[in-house]
Amino acid sequence: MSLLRCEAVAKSFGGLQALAGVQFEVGAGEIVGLIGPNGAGKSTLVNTITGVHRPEHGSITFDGHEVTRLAPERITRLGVARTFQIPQPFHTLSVLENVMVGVAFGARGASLERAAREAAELLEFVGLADKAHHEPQALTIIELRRLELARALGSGARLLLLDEIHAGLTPKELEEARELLQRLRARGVTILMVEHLMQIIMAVCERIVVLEFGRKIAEGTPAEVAADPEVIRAYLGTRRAGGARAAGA
Amino acid sequence: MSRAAAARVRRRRTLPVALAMLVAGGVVAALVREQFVLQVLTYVFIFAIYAQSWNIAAHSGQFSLGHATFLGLGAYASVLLAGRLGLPAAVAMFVGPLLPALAGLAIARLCLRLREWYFGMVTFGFTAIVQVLVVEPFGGLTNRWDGLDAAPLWAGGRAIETIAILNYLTALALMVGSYLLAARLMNSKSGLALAAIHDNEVVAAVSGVNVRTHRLMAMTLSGYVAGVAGALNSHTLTRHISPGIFGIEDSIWPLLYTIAGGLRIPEGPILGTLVVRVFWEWALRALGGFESLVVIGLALAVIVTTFPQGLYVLAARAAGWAGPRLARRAR
Ligand SMILES: Nc1ncnc2c1ncn2[C@@H]1O[C@H](COP(=O)(O)OP(=O)(O)OP(=O)(O)O)[C@@H](O)[C@H]1O
Ligand SMILES: [Mg+2]
Repeated sequence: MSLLRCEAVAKSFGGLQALAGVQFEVGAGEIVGLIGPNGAGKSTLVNTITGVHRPEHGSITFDGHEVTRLAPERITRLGVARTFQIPQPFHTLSVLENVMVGVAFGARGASLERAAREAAELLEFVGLADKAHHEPQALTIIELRRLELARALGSGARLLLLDEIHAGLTPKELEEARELLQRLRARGVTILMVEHLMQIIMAVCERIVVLEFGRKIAEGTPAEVAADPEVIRAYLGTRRAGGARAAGA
Repeated sequence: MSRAAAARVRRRRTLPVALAMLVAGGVVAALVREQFVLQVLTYVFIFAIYAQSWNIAAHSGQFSLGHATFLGLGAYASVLLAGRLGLPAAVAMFVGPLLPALAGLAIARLCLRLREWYFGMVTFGFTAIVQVLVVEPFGGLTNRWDGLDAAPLWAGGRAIETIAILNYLTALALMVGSYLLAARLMNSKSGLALAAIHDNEVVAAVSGVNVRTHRLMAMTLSGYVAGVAGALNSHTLTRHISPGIFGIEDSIWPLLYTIAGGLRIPEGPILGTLVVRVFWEWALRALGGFESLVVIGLALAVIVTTFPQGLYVLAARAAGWAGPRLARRAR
């Protein structure tokens, strides 16, 4: 049974069609990769699913609930959480308090005391325990991404949308990140991850959805997608001269 | 200081601070006999309540430049309830502010999509609108620009000195009450939501925070508390209310006092009002009109540039118990 279903989702900014009828599903327990060239609409899709943007057309259902026009906090409370491509911590709150917001107001809701306990556990889980009482300004970009992850996990999500949390990691950090994803999977969390790094996508995803110019151009197992001529064209086309790109537009 | 100590500061109990303020205020009342000093301090307490109301709204990122709306509406409502309906001032003072509470709710609703300067500008505009409303359509009720005399909070054949002390103690008690209210709110789960909203509304919303209800709640509460300050001011110090209360000046005071004392810190408005006002009165007397304003302006510039986090954080650092939480400062 699918946990998340997007049907013909369209979103434009002024004259720019960022999403032009995107259709796909994510099954419970799956780890699905969402890839595509820069500007393909991946972040816009995450924003639309989480209620930050409202789509002009189409419908999004989560766990059987129509969430297309719900307020972001309602969607979160149903069990959807996300990280932001550019980490956006609450800058006047401590690292611990950042995570507490997710726990206290997320899907399960919690008292401050319980939120503090669970937030401390989550910081432990993502490896930020020793930074609990620091301010977010004191964290590195990689630590900020882990903070985003802890805050999102804190809201008790069944579906986690990760927007490029692995960009810029060293091989060793990538290995740690992979382990973290495996532990998340073991917790039974369903994941849709936006990523440019094929290495990690290939390693952890069961299925991959490819976007280009707001359209889904391919979908399948990592092996299928890697062999797909459309995907090869889209990726190589962005590196070559404009011909292939214009054809795709 | 250590991180653990910082965490302790966060959980610091507010009741001992409240008691300390009551005792200190009581001691001053017992020792000081000068009417002028008592009056300045009564003003400080009342305007600390007012500044605290502004601080509550600011905690949620709603920086009002028109808080005089609530101060004035509270004063008018209370004075009219006491004058026209004959309610005791002590009752009217708490019923009247329901009007600015409603105004706070309405303005917050209208400004939901606005932040920062835009929010400030619209709240500023409302003060002008409310002033016109008070003078024109409701002029019959409010006696237009001449205003209304306010029933005294404490009267009935008491000596002037006794009344001054009673006014002073009432203002002190209410200021401590508003402090407890603000401190409890900021340390509560709702306070965490307000702080998250202050920092980033989108991230707060996708973390499950209902941005709308929290913003409305903060402004409603803020409107009520500002209204109580306005009512108290009219029934004790000014004994009169006129549309002049909806002027720019009365919207600037809470901002000035709070920023000087410490923004989004419950002790901030109290310390700021006390220090700025006492220094101001001293400068006026010691230096005279023109020179005093120059000195006051310079002093404020020095406070804000040298201790941008406010006097409270400075004092807390000196005492050795200010943690990063206090230092993390609002814009
Ligand atoms: N808030 C916005 N206002 C206007 N245009 C936007 C907005 N957000 C995204 N866009 C545009 O929509 C298109 C899709 O952007 P999006 O951020 O979804 O791409 P992406 O696939 O996440 O790219 P990247 O890999 O660079 O993160 C881009 O052309 C972008 O400029
Ligand atoms: Mg993106």
